[in-house]
Amino acid sequence: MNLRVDLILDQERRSGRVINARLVVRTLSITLPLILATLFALLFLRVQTLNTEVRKWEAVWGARHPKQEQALRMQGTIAANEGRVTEAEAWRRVRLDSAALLRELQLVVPLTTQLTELRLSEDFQVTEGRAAVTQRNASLMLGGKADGPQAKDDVTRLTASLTETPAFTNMIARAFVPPNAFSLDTTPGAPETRRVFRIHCEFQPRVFK
Amino acid sequence: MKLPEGRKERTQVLVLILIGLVGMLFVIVQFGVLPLRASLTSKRERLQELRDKIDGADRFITQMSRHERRNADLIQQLANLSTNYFLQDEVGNYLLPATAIVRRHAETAGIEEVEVGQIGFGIVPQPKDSREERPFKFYTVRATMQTPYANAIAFLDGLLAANPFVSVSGVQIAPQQGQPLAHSVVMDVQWPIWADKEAEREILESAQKQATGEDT
Repeated sequence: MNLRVDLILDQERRSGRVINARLVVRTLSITLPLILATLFALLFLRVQTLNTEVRKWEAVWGARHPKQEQALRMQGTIAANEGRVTEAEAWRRVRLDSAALLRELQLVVPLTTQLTELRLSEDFQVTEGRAAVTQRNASLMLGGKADGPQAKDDVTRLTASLTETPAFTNMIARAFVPPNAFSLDTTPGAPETRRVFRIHCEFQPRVFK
Repeated sequence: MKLPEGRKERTQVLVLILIGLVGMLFVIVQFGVLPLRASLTSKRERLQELRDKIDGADRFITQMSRHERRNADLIQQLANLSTNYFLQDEVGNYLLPATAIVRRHAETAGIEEVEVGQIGFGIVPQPKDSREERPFKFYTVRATMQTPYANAIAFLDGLLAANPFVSVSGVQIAPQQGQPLAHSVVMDVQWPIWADKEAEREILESAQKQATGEDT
């Protein structure tokens, strides 16, 4: 005898578990694609926003770039003009005050000595080596006559004064009588105590640029 | 759609669905997410690059007015040097103005006669490794005179005081037979001049524009 009474049909039976596998599958099948779609949409939106931003900044750069180019050209022009001014100033800076030199020479020549010749010459030279520079060099040759027993001393004193006199210390680096440049004056009629001499002076080189 | 009743078939269908989902996910990631991420990264980099460039440009641009003032000042200096101190040619002839200057100072110094002859043009040598060209060259004349030593000094004084850029690159003083007071004096007088006349013209024009307010 079958006493069993089915209050619900078989197809109406449900699991007693709290979490139903089917429910989980159904929920996931909806939420996962939804989450993924949302993330994808967010990513897409971010890219679009960045695109807009890039276009905006590109427009800004497009406006700034010519101005920057202009500023760079201006810097180049300034550098070129500064170079020109520096070089022009170099002409003033390296100039030898030949008027002062000639005036001071008058003062240092002893009374018993007579200058008969003066040759001052200047030129430009490039120094050798790694830090090569252009210098303005000058040299001076003085020729003269000295009379009397003290002629040798006078010429020696004159030579020394060309480097030691304050007016010349920053100008003349070296003064010397070259070999055989102090000798008897062989001019007909010249006294035996008269000497002729030549003094060479090398000037402090002045860096041009 | 209902899943099959049988456990085995149901599992097979679920596995198939899972495989399908994984495949779809792969396609979405491979052809959607990854390119978008790459695009995002490149856009960010481009944006940063643009911002850096703009910042750099702004630094230059904000200094522009200062640079313009500096350049205007330099142009004025050069125009002043060029006009007042460099030797200006007369239709390409430098000897004429040089002679006039030498004669004027000789006259002031009490030197009656002076001969002026051209030595010529020269350029200051450059170190070998220098890539810049000299903006200026020089022009030299030889002034020959018979004069006392004191007058020669007076001539030099006047010449050098009037123009701090002129130089005397050579002086020769020798006695003259029978004239103890008048020496034979030879002086090489040197002026800087523009090496590039076009550059000079541009500078003078710019200075002129600045003076008339055409250029700011």
